[in-house]
Amino acid sequence: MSFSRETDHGTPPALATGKAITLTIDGQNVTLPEGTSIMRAASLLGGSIPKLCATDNVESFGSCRLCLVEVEGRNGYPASCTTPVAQGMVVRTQTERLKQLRRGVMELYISDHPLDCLTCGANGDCELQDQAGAVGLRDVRYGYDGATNMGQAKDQSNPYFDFDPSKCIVCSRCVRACEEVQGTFALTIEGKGFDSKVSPSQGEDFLGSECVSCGACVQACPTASLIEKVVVEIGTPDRAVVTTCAYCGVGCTFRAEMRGEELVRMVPWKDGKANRGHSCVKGRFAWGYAQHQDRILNPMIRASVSEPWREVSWEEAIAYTASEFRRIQGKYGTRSIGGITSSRCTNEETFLVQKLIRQGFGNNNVDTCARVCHSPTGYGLSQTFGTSAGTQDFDSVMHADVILVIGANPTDGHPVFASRMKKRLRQGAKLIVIDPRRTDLVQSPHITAEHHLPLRPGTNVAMLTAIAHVVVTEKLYDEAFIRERCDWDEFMDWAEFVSEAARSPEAIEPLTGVKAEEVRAAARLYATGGNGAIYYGLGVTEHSQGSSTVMAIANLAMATGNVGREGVGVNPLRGQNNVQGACDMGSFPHEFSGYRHVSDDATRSLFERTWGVTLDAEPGLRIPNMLDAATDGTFKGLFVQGEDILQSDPNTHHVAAGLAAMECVVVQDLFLNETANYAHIFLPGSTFLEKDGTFTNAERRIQRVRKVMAPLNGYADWEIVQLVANAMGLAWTYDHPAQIMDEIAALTPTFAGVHYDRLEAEGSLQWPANDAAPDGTPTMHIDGFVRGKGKFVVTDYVPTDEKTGPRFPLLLTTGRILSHYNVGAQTRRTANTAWHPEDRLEIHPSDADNRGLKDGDWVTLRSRAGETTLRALITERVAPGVVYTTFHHPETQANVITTDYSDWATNCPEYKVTAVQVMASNGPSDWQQDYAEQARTSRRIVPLEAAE
Amino acid sequence: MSDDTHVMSTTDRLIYMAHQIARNMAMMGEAKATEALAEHLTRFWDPRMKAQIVAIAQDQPERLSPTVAAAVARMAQGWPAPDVDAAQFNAVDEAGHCDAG
Ligand code: SF4
Ligand code: SF4
Ligand code: SF4
Ligand code: FES
Repeated sequence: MSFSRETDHGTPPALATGKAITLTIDGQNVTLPEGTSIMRAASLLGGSIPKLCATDNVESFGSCRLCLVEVEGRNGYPASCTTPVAQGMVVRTQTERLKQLRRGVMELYISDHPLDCLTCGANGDCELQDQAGAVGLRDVRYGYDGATNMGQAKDQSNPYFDFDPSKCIVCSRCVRACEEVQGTFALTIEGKGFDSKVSPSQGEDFLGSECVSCGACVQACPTASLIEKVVVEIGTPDRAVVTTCAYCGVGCTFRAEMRGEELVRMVPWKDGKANRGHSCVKGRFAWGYAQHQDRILNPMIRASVSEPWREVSWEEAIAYTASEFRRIQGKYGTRSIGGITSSRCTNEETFLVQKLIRQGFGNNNVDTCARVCHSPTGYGLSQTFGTSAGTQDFDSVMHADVILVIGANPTDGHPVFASRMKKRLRQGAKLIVIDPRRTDLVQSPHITAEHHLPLRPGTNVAMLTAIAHVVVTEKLYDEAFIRERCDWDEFMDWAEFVSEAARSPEAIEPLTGVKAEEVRAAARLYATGGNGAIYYGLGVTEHSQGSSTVMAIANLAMATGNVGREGVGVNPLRGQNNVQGACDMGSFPHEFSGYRHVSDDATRSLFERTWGVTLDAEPGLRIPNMLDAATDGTFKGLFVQGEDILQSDPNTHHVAAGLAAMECVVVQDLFLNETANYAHIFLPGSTFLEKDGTFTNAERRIQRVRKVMAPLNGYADWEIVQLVANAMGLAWTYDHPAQIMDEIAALTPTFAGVHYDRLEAEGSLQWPANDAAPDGTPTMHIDGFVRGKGKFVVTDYVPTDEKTGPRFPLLLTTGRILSHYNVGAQTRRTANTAWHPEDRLEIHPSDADNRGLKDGDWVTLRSRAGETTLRALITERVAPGVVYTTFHHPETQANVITTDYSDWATNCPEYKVTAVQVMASNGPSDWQQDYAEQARTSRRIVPLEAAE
Repeated sequence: MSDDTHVMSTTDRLIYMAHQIARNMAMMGEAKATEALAEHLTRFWDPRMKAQIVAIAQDQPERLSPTVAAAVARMAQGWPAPDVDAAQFNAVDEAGHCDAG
């Protein structure tokens, strides 16, 4: 694709009313939906009316008066951006009188604007410049000598963009973008008339303000007033490639705007169906890790982890990998090796890794990081609905009346979706938040949760059952829906169970710590407030009863008839960009792509015919069990693609012991991550900018990832896996990921209709996409549940075995923040560290007081599993008795603290509940110092030349 | 590093896991829970884990509850376990279910 800006129609599409209007614009007849602006109508006809204060992702404002038009039979010159089309209207957009008026307006703007166009960063990409040309302005009558706003100091505090007030034309597009698109309300126009100027609220600089650096204002700004620093440095782009963000499960699509081989900026793509032209700080700005100096570009091997790394050729590294795996299998048996697929890699790459393991290793020892996040979603939703995926697309939230958010912090974890949700909330939808912390959503500009239920960590099932108790005993359930769509007898069993007095809000109040009246009110609102939509995250799944909680959520949605149409549903907010895809592609040890069990003879023989080998009918090991088997001496080799299990998995000591017991650990990654400290072979990986493929987001939406530059390490990740496979004798012959997708489609019923040409034509497809649903499936279970009748599953509350007591009196729960992503391997290598340079321990003032702690003090955090130190952040966001931290920094290693406890059905670790003690400390623990030393030693590299 | 750090032995972990699953299935009633647990172990545990729990049942029977012991015995009788609807998977040509457990 060569470079052209996306068309800006000036105002957003009209809300659908079903009515059409016919009018004439410059002699052309046109029919459009009621509510469309004249400006948009003219633009859709291919014309363009000059404009400055209008842009099509915010509502029009009508302040610049540049977009004047003439309307027959009306006096004056209405602004086309604020005037809706009307039946029979006759509009003229280009007349002599209009030209004069527009030139006059433009003259005023230009007289107060620095005319340094030639040296301005936005030269050639500036709407003021374009519009001055469009209205034919050649001369400014007022001269440039009067009072002006020029020469004001720039605000360069934000690491990614600058604000230059002297170039500001006070069009307020940025203010509206921050309010309407992002929902942060960080900007205001201060002052009046000539003195008015844009300012981050409370007069702070951008970095110190509420601003979350989403970039919406920068994108909206018509001048160089708000501009990306990189554009100033590199220059304006000359080509653009549409691709998909590699950070989170929202799956925003971007135009990667390039200048030659250099990436200038990532601009959210307006046609992207997941993000609709919006972005967050990670996808928009934090891609600098791709070129970071820490990136490893040459393969490396070593005989033992105490030796330094030795750089070798690709041939040697690949041959050594294959020979080590075969040697181990020869000595310890077929099932002594396995691998881990990555939710950060593409569907095609994930598919190839599990194929390498099943076809090449000859066993099912494949697992993926979804083990540690959403495996309970799979189990729970498949039991109740018959399919594990989220039931809706993101657009659905715009039809919700009551939004119940449980165990999720979307403003930090899924920011672009959160902005949509907040937009809906500002339109009047009601909000219920169930979370131990007072997350940002509970109280943010123009949004207040109707009910916040700050339950004690680990009591989700008790809470949801109490809500169900109210729904059933107060007869708020949807009997017609249940009778038609669900198994009535199972409903009756479940209803009897939840109705017992022991499960009432009053009875469980001592457990959850939440007032019964509040629970009752929330239950009534969800059941009777119109379309009820549930969104949940890892605060649901990462518990010993994660699967039960998911089933409890599904029960509630079925009982209230909130499944199977727009505006309702059960929606897991997926963590990583391709965690849905990794699960779909057969990354779990017991199933092939499309969720078919390895013991099913028909499925196995389908794969056996295609792959030409006999496949193992027994399930393989899950990650924690691989580590156990390693310690026991029966599991000796591991291939890890794009995961850092040492940092991300629970109980670091357990992971370290398991890895240390293996004879060959192969890590394929961008950086020497923490797991690589225990690796013998390092295969440098490629970034999402360097390869083709697809990601599947939390809406089941399959979107293209497109190569914008050549891989710095020499190969895309799928090519590396193919090299290993072929060195092990598999004879793969893929030339392009499209061929891998064709194989996936041929072997996987949900993906049967997914091919690159379809994706190219449609932009994206939501699975299932097959003969029955050629255009994909935005909303699931419309006419009936996938499994037939919806199944109510009785979910008994079983308290976790992780208990507080005198030695460990506090409950630790963990989470993430907006500017960082997971273990932070990528975001820590960008300027995002400006917002979160270290992990902090949030602790309530009363708990801090008891321990004599002040804000910023170093504290020791100790659990039964281990201890670490970090600095305290005293805040009332957490309830007394609860502490909270993130796990973005390896120095902290929050997972030294987390335990081996896990979800009963899936072994998803119980990250969200650990009993701990907190006490004052002087600085990093012995363990942290030892670890830092071990990591340093382990990362020594002998370069290729020296090694030869 | 504190000295009371704990990493469970594999034996302890398997015993713990089996009982944890059993506790969460207890609401089904004894007979159904036994079948469901047997199916769960068959469907999700790798052969060495299965062999280990069978060995535990023989060597240290006192460490298994009656339900777990019965389920292990049931599993050891071999495939196919009766389908008690406790785990859902797609058939070869089915697009429906989606289990990520
Ligand atoms: S970057 Fe985003 S949050 Fe910050 S001021 Fe601009 S629109 Fe608002
Ligand atoms: S900073 Fe840009 S978008 Fe904001 S008011 Fe000024 S010119 Fe308009
Ligand atoms: S991190 Fe998530 S929300 Fe942010 S831009 Fe990427 S996909 Fe969108
Ligand atoms: S664009 Fe219509 S008034 Fe500014």
